[in-house]
Amino acid sequence: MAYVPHTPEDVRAMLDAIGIESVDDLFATLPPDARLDGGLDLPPGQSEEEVRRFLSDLAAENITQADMVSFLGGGVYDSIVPAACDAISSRSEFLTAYTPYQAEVSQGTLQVIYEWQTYVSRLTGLPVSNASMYDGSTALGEALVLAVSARRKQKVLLPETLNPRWRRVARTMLQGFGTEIVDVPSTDEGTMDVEALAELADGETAAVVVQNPNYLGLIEPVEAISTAGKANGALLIAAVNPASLSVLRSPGEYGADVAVGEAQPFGVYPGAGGPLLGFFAVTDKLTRRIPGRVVGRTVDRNGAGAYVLTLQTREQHIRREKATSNICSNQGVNALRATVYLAMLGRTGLRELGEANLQRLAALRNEVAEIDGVELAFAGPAFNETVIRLPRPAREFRGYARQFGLLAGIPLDGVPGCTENDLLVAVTEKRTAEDIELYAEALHGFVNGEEVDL
Amino acid sequence: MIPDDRKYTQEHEWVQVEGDAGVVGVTDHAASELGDIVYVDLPDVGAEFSAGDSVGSIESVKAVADLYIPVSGEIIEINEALDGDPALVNNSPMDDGWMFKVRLADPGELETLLDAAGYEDLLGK
Amino acid sequence: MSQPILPPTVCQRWLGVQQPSLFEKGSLGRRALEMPAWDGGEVAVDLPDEARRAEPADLPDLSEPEVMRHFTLLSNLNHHIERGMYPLGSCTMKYNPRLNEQVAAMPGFSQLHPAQDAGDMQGLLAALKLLEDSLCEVTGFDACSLIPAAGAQGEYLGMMVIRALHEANGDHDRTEILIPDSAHGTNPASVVLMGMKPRTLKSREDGRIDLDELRAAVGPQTAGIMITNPNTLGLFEKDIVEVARIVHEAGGRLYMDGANMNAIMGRARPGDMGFDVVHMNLHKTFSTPHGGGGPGAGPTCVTAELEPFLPGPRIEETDGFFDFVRVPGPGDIAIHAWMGNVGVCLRALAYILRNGGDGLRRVSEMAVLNANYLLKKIQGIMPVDHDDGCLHEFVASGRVFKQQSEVRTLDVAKRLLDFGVHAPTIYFPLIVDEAFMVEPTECETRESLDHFVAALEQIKREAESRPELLQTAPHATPVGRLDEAKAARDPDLRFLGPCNC
Repeated sequence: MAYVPHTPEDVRAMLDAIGIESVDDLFATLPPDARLDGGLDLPPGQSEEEVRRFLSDLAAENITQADMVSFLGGGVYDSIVPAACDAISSRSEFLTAYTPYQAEVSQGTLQVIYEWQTYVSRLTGLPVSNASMYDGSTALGEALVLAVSARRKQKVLLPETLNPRWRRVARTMLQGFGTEIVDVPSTDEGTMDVEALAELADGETAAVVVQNPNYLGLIEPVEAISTAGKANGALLIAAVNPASLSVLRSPGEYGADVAVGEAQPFGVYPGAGGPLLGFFAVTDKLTRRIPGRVVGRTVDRNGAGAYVLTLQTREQHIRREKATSNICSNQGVNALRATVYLAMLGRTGLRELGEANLQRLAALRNEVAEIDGVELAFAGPAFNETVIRLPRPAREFRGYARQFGLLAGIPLDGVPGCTENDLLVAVTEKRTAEDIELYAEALHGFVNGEEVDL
Repeated sequence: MIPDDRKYTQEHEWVQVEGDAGVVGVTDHAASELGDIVYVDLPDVGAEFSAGDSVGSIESVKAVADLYIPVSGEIIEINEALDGDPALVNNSPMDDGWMFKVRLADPGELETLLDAAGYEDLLGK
Repeated sequence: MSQPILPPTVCQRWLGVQQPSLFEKGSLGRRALEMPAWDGGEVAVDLPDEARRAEPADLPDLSEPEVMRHFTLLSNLNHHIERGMYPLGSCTMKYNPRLNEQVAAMPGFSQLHPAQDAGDMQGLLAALKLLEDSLCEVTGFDACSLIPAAGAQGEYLGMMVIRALHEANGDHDRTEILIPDSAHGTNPASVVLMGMKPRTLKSREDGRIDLDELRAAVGPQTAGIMITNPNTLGLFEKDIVEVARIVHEAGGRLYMDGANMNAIMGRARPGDMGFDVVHMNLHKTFSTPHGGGGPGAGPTCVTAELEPFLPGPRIEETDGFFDFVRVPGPGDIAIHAWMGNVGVCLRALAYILRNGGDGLRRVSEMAVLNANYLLKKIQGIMPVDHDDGCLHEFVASGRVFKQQSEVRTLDVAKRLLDFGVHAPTIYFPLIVDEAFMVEPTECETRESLDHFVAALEQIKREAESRPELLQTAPHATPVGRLDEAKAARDPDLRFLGPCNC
């Protein structure tokens, strides 16, 4: 048997020690009407080699970003993953450890989380970070729940330009609270209509969300949004791509009370969308309302500095029905990967990451501007992503571009302010000048109705 | 020895009359049952409550207890010192570790609370 | 049988020493990760000054060797499953097969972008469908959602589908969920977050459900009941079929917290017992790593009646092609941006394939055998009040130590760390005084179980002769017992100093 050590002799000796005849006797308390006779209808177990072959065959059937040049984003990005992330995160000491409740034998995990919290705090400009959340969408949902319970008000404002997947998750998570969700419209430039926001953010509003860059890749007028959004006491929740904080203003700088987002671009493989890495940071004032785990530095009985899980009374196993979150895990392995990634990048590297992203996106936008028949749907400053408006449905181009080996982007039909001809295109630091030329070639071909001869 | 200069509740809180206000805190017993108190969440000054309302909470390392208001009225002062030094509740629950002052809306409510002897009986059970 | 134990200072001394934080290391200009060269010439970047951050984040600049050393040295401070046993009750800390990791890391899986076409992911979708089907077989249900990213999310989804069913039936007043008083604190939390009302059900002394209490509690307000079976004392709910009949007759549905599935695989199935929903923890029963706190996964299986309420899109196979299909239902329920923790699901599939049906049954059998063997041995050291029919775990009581010499269960748990054994779950469940909850899992050998027993025997002797040794334990670990009150009173949650000094 695969991972069970017992020989028949072991089993016999142990049954004797217990004082029973057979393994069946161990299950004597299972009532007959609840027993499964005849076992499970699953195939017999296989050797490691057989399972590896079967699953690597399935893996080989997939066509991935390793086989194609990817311009897909929408919250998950084709970013650089340094080898160090794989090496450290596969260490059993981190990978197979339990939640660090026994701090004396978990200092490694605890210190990594403390370092992760420090990175999140320095990037977001907010003092308090937790140990991580499932993903960006649930982090946003938790932020809204926090706001509703902290402000004791039942209205929240979400921008039209919010990632639609995150919106659905946030709406689901607010269902149990009966919260009213109001959309803040966008201007023709694809960013939040600040005048409309100023009218909507009244005294009944618990929270205003701004996503920066927004789902369309555009940089929002965050200062104006902050001023208008907070005028009547609402909390400002900033949903941010942490890679953008290399160059963009931090949520702390523009007065956000909560910052959340998806940190997958920091050394986590896209992995078909999971596991990802949500992050969550708040102001000092909200420290005791932050969901999830938090690590603090303290001393041990000998006075030596050491780390421990703290503020545990916030957690659901103590608050029970008064809890405002039921999360009882964190994305430990991915938070570790991101911490390693940020350590590899450093202050200098982070800046270069941001500039590389800006540069490559600008290069693509320049190419698009030169092609007749396609245009940028929104021309304002952007980070990582942009919307290309095509002469025909974006879905068609997505199929067409595959012939060039391109994963061209995400069609935006149904997204407010967009049409079925709009495509969301992500350009990360991994894209080369050659990739971008290829993309332009595909656009040319599509616009001119050229058949591809491969 | 339970001081007889104040009234007590079933929830191990005390209230001491000071002019037209009542000073509210938790008893020695409550403080020692909770263990090391690490944070006290107090109501806002100006908020009005009815007797028995939950107005805040007291947190120890691994437990959290509701803080109830024993008498109705408006909160007129909170013990700001607890914010920086929650251990005051452990060290001096009946004195420096007081929680808040409430303007008594109905002094008659005090009659419904336990006196020192009554509270001692409660602890005895 | 018990082996002599060397003084822990000799045999279990940690190799690791504490490290300064990353933020105290490094020097401006050191490089580990560089951007790929750009050969596209000069490109003007349009980013207005007001959008730029004023100051770059102050982070340490480090070289790759420094980074690797830092994290490797930190790793040495951890207890982990490849170092020693984790007899943590309710947590099922079994061995995490290395094959699982290889599979999840295959580029054919790890490099997929979730917004790719279904046609690009045929291998992945086939694997996920196979896992869904396997989990349905293990639990006896009709449909499975792999999306919940953790047990708590599975539980939340379980409540959501039950609520959605009642809503769809026009039963708007069915909002009460019964929860036995022995349940884990997440249960009531999930109910409230879903907008329903938890109602505590007083259980019998052994944590099993009291049928009279149940009959008195159900009514037209009942939405359902949450049951952990086997319960937190490791005992099977003997009357479960009757419980299901009572709840169903009252119009409610039954949700099972599958935290303890490792006890009954191949022996009993929640679907056959009358449950309507179950969630499993892949990081417990199905051997995926805990990762120091996550990620796990909490797939949730349901009856055909509840399937329409599962979050979409669902994976469906037509003529050998796997596609995402939106099942008509209440619609637009979402608990994750994409498909959940896919990488965790792949690990669990590898585990299931390795074991097969018979193997999974064998897993549960040996888990229960190990628990009962330990129970028998530990009974000579500590009392176990509920020892009638324990399955994969049992709850002993540390009250003997307290009576004997003012040594608390916490002290015993801390001293165990000195012997290279992780502490069991303590002070849970609340219904046992000084609870000491032990779950060895099937992966431990008889020798390692004997080591655990011998360590406890020695601790029992120490409790008599040198109680202060336990009260101040652990001693052989990288740090001593922590000042948790200081941590919570005066939170220090991030490094404050400047970097690269």
